[in-house]
Formats: sequence, structure tokens, C-alpha cells
Amino acid sequence: MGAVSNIDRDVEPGPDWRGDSINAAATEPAFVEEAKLNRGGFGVMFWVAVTFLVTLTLAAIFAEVLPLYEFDETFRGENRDGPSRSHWFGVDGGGRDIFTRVIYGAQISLIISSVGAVLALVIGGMVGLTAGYYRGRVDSVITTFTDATLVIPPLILALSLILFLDNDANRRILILIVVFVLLSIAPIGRVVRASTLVWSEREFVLAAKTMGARNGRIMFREVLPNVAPALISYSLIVMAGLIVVEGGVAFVGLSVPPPTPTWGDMINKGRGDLDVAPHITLMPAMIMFLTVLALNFVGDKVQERFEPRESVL
Amino acid sequence: MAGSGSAHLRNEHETLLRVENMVVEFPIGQTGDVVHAVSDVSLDLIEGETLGLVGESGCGKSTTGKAIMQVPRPTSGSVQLDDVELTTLDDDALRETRPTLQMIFQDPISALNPRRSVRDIIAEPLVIRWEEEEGRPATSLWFERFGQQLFTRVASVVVKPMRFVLPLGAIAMVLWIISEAAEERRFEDQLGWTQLPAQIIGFPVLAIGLGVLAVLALLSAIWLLLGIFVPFGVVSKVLGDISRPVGLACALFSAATWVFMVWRTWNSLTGYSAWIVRVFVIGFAVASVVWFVVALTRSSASGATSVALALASAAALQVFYISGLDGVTKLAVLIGAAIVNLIVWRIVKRQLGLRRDELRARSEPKVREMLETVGINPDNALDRKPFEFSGGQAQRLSIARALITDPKVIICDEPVSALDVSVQAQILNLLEDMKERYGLTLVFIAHDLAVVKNVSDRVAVMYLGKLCEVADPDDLYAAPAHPYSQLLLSAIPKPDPTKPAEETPNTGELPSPIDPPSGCRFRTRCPLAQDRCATEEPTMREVAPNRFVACHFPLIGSDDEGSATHAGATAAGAR
Repeated sequence: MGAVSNIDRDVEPGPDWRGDSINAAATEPAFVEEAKLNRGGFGVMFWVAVTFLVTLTLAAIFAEVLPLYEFDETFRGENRDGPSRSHWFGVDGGGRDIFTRVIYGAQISLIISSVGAVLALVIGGMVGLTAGYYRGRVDSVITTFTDATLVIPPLILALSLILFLDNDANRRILILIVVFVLLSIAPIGRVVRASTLVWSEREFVLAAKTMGARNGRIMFREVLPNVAPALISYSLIVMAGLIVVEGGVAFVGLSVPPPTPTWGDMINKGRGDLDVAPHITLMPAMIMFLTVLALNFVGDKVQERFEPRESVL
Repeated sequence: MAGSGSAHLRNEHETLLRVENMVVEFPIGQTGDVVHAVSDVSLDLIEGETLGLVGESGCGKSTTGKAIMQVPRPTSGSVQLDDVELTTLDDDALRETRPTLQMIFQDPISALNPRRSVRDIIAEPLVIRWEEEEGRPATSLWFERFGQQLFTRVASVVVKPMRFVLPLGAIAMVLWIISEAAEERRFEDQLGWTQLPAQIIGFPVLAIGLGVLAVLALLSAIWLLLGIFVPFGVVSKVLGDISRPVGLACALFSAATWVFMVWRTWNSLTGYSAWIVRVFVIGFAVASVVWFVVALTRSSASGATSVALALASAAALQVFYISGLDGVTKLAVLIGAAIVNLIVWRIVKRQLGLRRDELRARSEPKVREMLETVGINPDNALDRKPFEFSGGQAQRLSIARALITDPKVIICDEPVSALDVSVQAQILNLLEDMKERYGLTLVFIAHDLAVVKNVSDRVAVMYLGKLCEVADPDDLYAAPAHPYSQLLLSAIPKPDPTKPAEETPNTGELPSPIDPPSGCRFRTRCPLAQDRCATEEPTMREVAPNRFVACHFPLIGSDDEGSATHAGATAAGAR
């Protein structure tokens, strides 16, 4: 065994290798800056989508102070009239202003889908993170339970819960939220689990273990920040899905009872007049379509923009 | 060859790290088969020594390194660091030894979390150690700090009320306008746009109402604070150190309380003007959930914190229970709750933030020193993310991270394999410098024999989970004693393009570690294999001074075990 310092080196470093590397970070090559810039903005469409969503949300929250009609106000003699200056989206079969009803319907759609998506994000995120990080038995137990929720048809679950309870609108909303959360945990949990499986294989997780970090610290400090973009963007897409599912539930009359407007209910009611007054169905459908599109778009962009970066060099 | 035995181990008193008969096996699903990744490997290191561990891919080098780090723990065998047996330590005791045993990984980019800044990455080992050592301050101490902060904060609210009251008053006003407007809409039809200006003209009137609101809000805030924290203070003084389970129980209890509150509140609200209040309820519920998560997951949070947070969030929701109140009073209580939330939240955030800032400030000089030591300018690097660095620089960061806790032993798991040749040299020289400067002992795992020859004081050749040969690098390279060592050496490409590549003898496939060959594990590829190799496993023995080989027919030295003439003849032939 030779002495520590007397090892001949086949490869001699350049005379100023250390000096070079000290300045390496300072004189960063131009293309690094370029790459950073290129990652840059979200694009025009993202901001259009965000503006639409924010406008819709604000309109829904402040619907009562906005200069709208009452949502159950009837205009006799104007039934099924198309869009006009006084009724932007036209009038429905009951003589009610569709624009007003779309805004009030957004209250229900947005509150159910956003609360559902946020709760599903928190619960599904925890479940997926735990399953993906610990693997093995923990994983199979959790996955079994979450997968079991996938076999429940949402309409049947909502129906069975609602039938046992009264017609109260607020309680219906709560039930719908509970149903939607139950149904969204599994998909979100799966996405997070898959992502966690990949990230917790990485050497920085091993490094954290060799540094003596506890499991909770590794999960929340090392793995979660890397999983978060996928989690958040997928939750936005789940939220879009919940808006559609709420529409479907309302379509069969299981959502909030009338006269409270919901998008699905409006689409359903317009069905009969589709040949003479298509706008009754199409206007709420269009807003629902645009909302879902905007949410998907925002979700995609968020994922794209915040995806962890590995290396540009 | 490829055998067991510990003839090459040195005196126990001399060695710093000692691995004896280490076995690592991984089960394959439920099949009952196991992968024999490392089978009966013994190694030792004297302080200041560098042990090179070479072998093909899949021979168990990295697994050996990780098993020494106890991630995962070896199936059997012993690992002694400084006479402390690591394999039997419990998790907490093992954590305490972590600073003395560090590891550098193969892929420098993968070993650094892309989401964290260099400052946090390098400081992490220190921060973890500090949090382990002082992570849970005594409950009473925490409460004192919390109480002090709370009362300074309350005092500042009293002294400078405008700072708090004005923005909240503004919110209150907006809420009031909304509720009033909604109210009026019920009685009058189609006021439309004319409604809002009328209210804006009524601003001075509202401002007076705002004053009343502010006073009420302040009073209710103080009432809530006194109601919660004074009893809590008394309780904690009486009980002394509140344990974590008690905190947990309180948290669960108040969680149940506020679920009930939300339910009651939700159902007691009617009409669509209640949506605003619902949004507040949801907001508070979310804030409370965040608090619980913070309270229950912070390792530094004591029982008292959990209790305080739980009670505070329960209290915040309690106000909604007062649904009999109307109009201005209701809003005032609402704002009072908002103030309580704000104050407690800010204090908690401050506490957490203070802790983080304190740890950052404490670790910064050391982080800077380490970055400078490994040749990276700290001023530029501290706040950058790993992706902004090249592979070589990232490997320097890994080295800085490994060095920051002043370790005795560093396991380098192929630290230069992912780097290009010129950068390899830099990193190797850096490791040499660090070794001299900090008196490190290194285990250097590599498949590149040239690299190992450069850095090692002693080389161990591994094959399929077993050691083949342990020797001084110069001796080994001059005359390998094991047929496998010879095969490895002959596989080194000669940097001379004019010469035709030599026929590499016997480059077979590595057998499966699930079902390794009987006897000597190398026999399936060995040019010298005899019947004996299949039945009898060779053990380590000294064939020449300081040359240990696990082979029945070593290429050098006296062979008192096998047939001397045969071994000599084949050895000569093989060369």
C-alpha cells in the first residue's frame, strides 16, 4: 500500500484548471441564458384561457351585484328568442335570460369542480406519494383501495346518495363534492404514484437517505417538489372533467334542484327546442366547452412550464 | 476463484472501516428466487487509505458500496466503522453515524435535486444533522417564544391599528356593499348599473360604519385571543411539557369540532348572498388543513405547537357558529376571525421561516467554504439550480455536499464514469486534494482500471458478488494473479490506433447472479478451469507478500494447493 500522496498521475490537469472552474459559473456560456429565455413565457393562448377563467369566476362570485336579470325572472312573449342586445345569449323556453342563467350556473359548476379537485389533489396526492414512495405492501394496500373506487359508476353513486337525502340544494352540492372527490382520488393518486415511483428512484433520494434524512423529509422536500407540476396540471384536467361529469349528473336531474340553474340542466331543458331554438342548448354548452378547454390548456402549460429541468449543458 | 475468505484482512486495531462476510441478496417478487448480488465479501481500510473496487458491470461493486452505507442494509455480515457495528444499529443511531460516512454518486445530475438551489443542496447534510440534534426544543421554551411573539404582535396591533384595520376594513366594506346590494336587489327590480354609483357616493356614510366595524373587529379578535391562549398558557404551565400524543389528540378533537362547525355553518346559510360566506368557510377550512399538516409533520414542532395550532384553527371556525348574529356584527366577527388567523398564521410562518433562515445563515459560511474548496465560485453558484451546471461542476457540488459534514470515509460510486476524460482528471485530482486536506479514507468504485490504478493504495477485484484478488495496484497491473484480473487488464484498449486490436480472450457473458455457478464463480469463463473449480470454492490466500488471491490455480506465486506444474504451465501459456 503506497503512501497517500505518492501516486503518480497519468493524467496531469491543466495548470489553471481550478481557476477555470471558479470562473465557470461567472462566465456562463450564452446558450444557457438563451435556453432559460426560451423556456420563458406561457404564450398568448395561456393568458387568453386564464383571462376567460378569471372573468368567469369573478362573474360567478359577484353575480348578485352585477347588472344581470334574476335567474328565475321570466320575460313573457320572448320565449325562445335568439341573442339580442337585451338578452346576449337569448331567452330559453321558460322565457328566462340565458346569459344570466349561465353565470349563475357557473357558481354551481365552479364550486363543485374546484372544491372537488382541490380535495382530490390533497388526498390523492398524499395517497399517491405514500404508495409510490414506500412501495411494496403499503403500495398494494393503497392501490387496491383506490382502484376499488374506480369500479363505482359515478351516476349510480350520486343517485344512491342523493336518493337517501332530501332535496336541499346545499346538501346536494356537498354530496356531489363528496362523490367527485371519491371518484377523483384514484386517477390523481395513480398519476402521482407513477411520478413518485420514477423520482424516488433517483440518486438524490438515495443521497438524502445517506445523509440521514427521514422518510417524511424525503417525501416532502425531495420528491414532492418534482411531482408537483404533474400533480397540479392533472388536477386542473380533473377539474375540467368534473365540470363535464356535473353536467352529466345534472342532465339526468341529480344535480342541484331547480330553479337553481346549472349548465347540465340548461342543456337538458333545451333539448326539446333544439330544432327551433338551438341557442338554448348551445350557449351553455359553448361556455362549458370553453371552460373545459381553458382548464385543459392551462393544465398543459403549467406542466410544460414547471417540469423540473435536468440539464441544459 | 471468486471466492470467500478473509485472509486479506488486516489487524482489527489498525482498520477504520471493516467489512466482514457481507452478503446482499434481493428477493425476486414472490418466486422465492434471490439475486445473490454480493456474496460473502470482506474488505478493510486503514485510515487515509484508498481502496479501489473494480469489476464488470453487474458484479456487485455499487451494491457493496451502498450496503456499506446501509441503504439497503446487507442481508448478513458485519460492517464496522471505527469499531461501531453499523448493521445492528437502529435507525436513529445510524442517523448519528451518517455524517462520518458519506457517498458520492455516479450520475452527478441525478444526484442533485433539480428543484432545489445549490445553497440548500450543499447545506442539506448539515441541516439534517442540526435538526436531528436540536430539532425538538423543549415545549415550554417553544411556548415562551410563541407567547412572546404573540403578545408583541398584539401590542403592535394596538399601537398601530391602521396597518391591520385598514386593509381588512376595506375588505369589510366591499363585503358590506355586496351584501347591501344583494339585499336591495330583492326589493327593487332592474336597478342595474345605477346601483353601484349610488353606493360609491354613499362612501362617507360607509366609512363611519367602517370605524364601528374596525373597533368591533379588534374587540372580537382580542376576545378570541384571550379566550384561546390564556387558558392554553395556564394549561401548559400546569402540565409542563405537553407530549406529542396529547397534541395529536387535541388536534384530532378540534378537527372533529371544525368539521361539525363547517357542516352547521353550511346548512345554516341560506340564499345566494351566502356564497361569499361559504367561500370564507372553505378558505378557513383549507387554512386549517394546512395548519394541521404543518403542526403534525414538522419534526421540530412540539406538542404545544400542535395544540396551539389546532385550538386556533378551531376557534377561527367557531365564529361561524354564531349564526344568530346579523349584519354588521356578523361581519365584525368574521373580520375578527380573519385577524386571529392572520396573526397566528404570521407567527407560525415567522417561526418556520425564522428557523429556515437561521439554518441557512448558520450553514452559509461552511457552504461557501466547501464550494470554494471544490473550485466553484460561491457568489455565482449559491442561488442557482443544478441544471445550470455542467456534469463536472455538478460532480464538484456532490463532492462539496459529501465533505460538508467532515466525514471520515467517503464511498465514491463510480464518480467519474459519467464524465468526459479531461473532466475525469480534474475530479480525480480534486478528490486527491480533498483526501490530503481532510484526511479522508476513500472507497473508490470504478470499472475503469486506469482510473483505479491512479487513485488506489489497494485494489480489490470483484466478480459476480465475490472478491477475486486484493493487491497493491502496481503489482496487480504488472502481473495479475487471478485469471479474471488478467482478463480485465487485457480488455483495456491500447491507445495506439496503428496496432491492430488484440484478440481479447474469453469474453463470455456474466452468468446470472440468481443462479451463480457452483464452486468458483468465474469457472464458466476461466481459461484455466478444472473439475476442481466446479466443486470446491477457492478461498483467499496470500500467494506473494501482500497479494491475496481466491483461486485454485493462481497465475503467480507458489501453489501449494493445486498442481504447481499445471498452474505454472498455464500461467506461462496465458501470458
